[in-house]
Amino acid sequence: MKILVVDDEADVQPLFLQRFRKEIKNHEFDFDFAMSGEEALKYLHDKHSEVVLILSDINMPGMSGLELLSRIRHDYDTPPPMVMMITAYGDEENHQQAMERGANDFLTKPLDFNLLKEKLKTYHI
Amino acid sequence: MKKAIILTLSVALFITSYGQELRIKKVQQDLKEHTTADTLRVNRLNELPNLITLPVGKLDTMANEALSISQKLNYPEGEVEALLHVASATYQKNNIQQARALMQQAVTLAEKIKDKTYLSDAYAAIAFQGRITGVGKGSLAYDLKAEAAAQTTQNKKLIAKRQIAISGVYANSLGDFTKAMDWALKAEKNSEEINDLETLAQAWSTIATIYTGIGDRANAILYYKKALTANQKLGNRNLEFNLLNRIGEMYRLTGNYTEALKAYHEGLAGPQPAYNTELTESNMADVYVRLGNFPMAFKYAFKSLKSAQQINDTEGEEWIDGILARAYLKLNKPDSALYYARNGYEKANQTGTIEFKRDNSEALANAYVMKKDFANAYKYHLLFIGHRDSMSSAEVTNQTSLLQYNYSLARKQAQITALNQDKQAQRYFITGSLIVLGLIAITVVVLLRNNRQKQKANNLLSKQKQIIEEERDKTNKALGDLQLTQRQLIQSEKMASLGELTAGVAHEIQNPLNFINNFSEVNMELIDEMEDDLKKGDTEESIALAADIKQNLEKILHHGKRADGIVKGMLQHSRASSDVKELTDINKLADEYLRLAYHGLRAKDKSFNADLVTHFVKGLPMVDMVPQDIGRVLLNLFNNAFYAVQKKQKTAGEDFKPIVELITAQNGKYLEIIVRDNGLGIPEDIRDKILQPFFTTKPTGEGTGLGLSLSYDIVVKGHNGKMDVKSEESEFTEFKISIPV
Repeated sequence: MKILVVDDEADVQPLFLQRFRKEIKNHEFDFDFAMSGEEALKYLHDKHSEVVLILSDINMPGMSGLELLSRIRHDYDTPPPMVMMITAYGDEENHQQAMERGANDFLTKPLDFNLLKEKLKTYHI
Repeated sequence: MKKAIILTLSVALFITSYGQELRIKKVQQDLKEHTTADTLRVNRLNELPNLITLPVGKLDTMANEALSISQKLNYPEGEVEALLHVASATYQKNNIQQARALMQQAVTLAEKIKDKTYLSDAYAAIAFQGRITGVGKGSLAYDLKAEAAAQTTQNKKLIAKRQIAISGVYANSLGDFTKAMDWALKAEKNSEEINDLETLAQAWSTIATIYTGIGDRANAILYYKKALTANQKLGNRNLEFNLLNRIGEMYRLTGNYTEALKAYHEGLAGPQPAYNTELTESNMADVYVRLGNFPMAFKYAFKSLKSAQQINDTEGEEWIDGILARAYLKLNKPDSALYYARNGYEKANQTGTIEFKRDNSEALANAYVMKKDFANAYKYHLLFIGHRDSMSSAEVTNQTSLLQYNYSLARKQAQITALNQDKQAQRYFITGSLIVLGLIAITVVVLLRNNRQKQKANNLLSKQKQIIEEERDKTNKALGDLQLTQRQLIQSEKMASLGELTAGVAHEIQNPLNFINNFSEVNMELIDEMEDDLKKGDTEESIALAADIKQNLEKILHHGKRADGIVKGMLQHSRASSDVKELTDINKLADEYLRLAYHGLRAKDKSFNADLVTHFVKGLPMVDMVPQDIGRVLLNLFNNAFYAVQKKQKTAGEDFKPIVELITAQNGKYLEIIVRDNGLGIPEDIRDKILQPFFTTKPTGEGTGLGLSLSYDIVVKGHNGKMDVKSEESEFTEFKISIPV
């Protein structure tokens, strides 16, 4: 089960690896990381069939998470990957824009991993 | 210069002529040959100190000999004079109390023998001593007693001398020029009647001093020249030197520099006078500064400064410091000017000399203007105005013109009295005197009218002066108000940019918090696991877990510090600038503010996006700067750049990719920060206006129009840096800040 995490903060990588270490050990999930929207698109170009879920930050220099979301929804529809947006701005406008562009869910920083894990369960991943 | 006044009065005490030289020789010979303790020896012992200046020791011995002989012989006249000489010697040995007691003893004895000349001498001695030791007001009473005693002797020369002394006290110690002139004119009249050149020269010199004091330089020059002519016959070199210096002064102050230099050079040309020539030399330095002849100015200024320091003449130093400050100002060297003016101003504050407080505060104000330090320039300008005004003498001039009129009236009156007394020609003169009286009456009417007109003019002048002063106060107040408004505007500009910051800060702080919270939680889980492993005795796994825990803690610490830095940065930004420069890493500072500005804008406009391209040259030197000030400049430039690309994005269509570049580099002695955007660009016709305060292209309410103007002030005035703008309309804008390393 491959999950792609897109965030310009480097420390996001060890954080996800540690919080999901049991799941990784049990081979429930497999993580890959991209540090910008552009990098994520390049990754998807090669391996989009492997990826089941994309977790993306919104505020990044260059291509923003919302732009990435629009491109994914435009370019990859068979099968459509799940996309969850993460942002430090937990305001209504951000949430609405993400949903309009086709996000499956919306999370705010600081990230609540227990909530994330529960959501992953409900989506039967 | 004020101190010259005291000098003349004391100089005039010894005047030697050919006749006197013979007398000195005779007295010295008598003292050598005639050793019998009799009245003749007493008289000679008493006479010599009146003719020449004796060393203190010799004066003491001689005076004491005269005193003991006259006491033995019961010769009170000799005793009184001897007492005064002993007092003089005692005083010169700095025993002021005892000298005073001896003088009192002389007064008592002179009264006892009813000798008014000695009584006058004794009172004059007490007054003179009081004046020199600085109890001037008390001395006036004794000067008046000395004059009253002299009046009873009918000796006009003695009377004139005493009157000159009184005039001096009124002019120099009490500043009452009306009374001073009154007494000086009495002395002039008495001297004229006996045609005594010595007292005439002194009286004229005194009158000239009074005119100097009230600022009437034309009359001062007239009287100094009269005194000089009288002195030519007397041949007193000291008085001549002094008078020529004063004539030079008057010409200098009226701006007639050629005549001034002529007088100074003439004064210095003769043999070395008894006292220092520092005064004249410093005055010449001032003239040469005014004429722009700096080699001569510095020659005389430094020569006289050295002499002034040698003889501890602080007032002289204040005066010369001011001259040097003015010279350096003219040479465009504000730092040297500041050095001397500050020296002079401090010393003048210690001695309380208004004239030099005025000169040096003016030089300080001008030097600060040259250095563009306007706060200090304004401060010293106000001080200068204060000192200048307290020296204004318009009222005094008024008083004296009145007095002059009174005096001419009194002279005519004296003529009338003389006519009446002449009994033989009485009848013959009655008609004449009537005519004279009529003429006088006409003169009086004319004079009265003149005087009234003068008074009118003076009233008008003082009214105008009052209006000017009111205007000045208004202007000063307006200036103060403006400065206050400026400070408030700067603060509001700060608060406006703070608002833009806050949104950026909120975002920036969530990211570190995300890591802090989550790594902490992970660590709790890891510790639980480690406990289990330890219970099981699996040390290998426990050690691996401990390493993970430690690594996570390092990350927590790192992100905690990051959040701390962000909050501190924001607080610093809102605080009034502390103006404290510190060594700053320009790459770090620029990066921090670029992120803040970007996220601040993104918080407002979600759809906005731009490529941030940074080219940081690594290993740049740390630079001394006020970080929050430069941060404010950068924030302003970034905000402008984002605004420009955002605007262009709205019109340019899909293909436009907004780019904001931040470049740091070192260029010789300057560190450069370049902020470049590919936005709207600045139209050529407003490019030279963008640094003006209150200029903005943003809609009303969106910008204060102060951002760039304040940035310019911070970079150029606050950091001696440069700020350059390059732009092409619809293509790009590039701001370059250069800060000296």
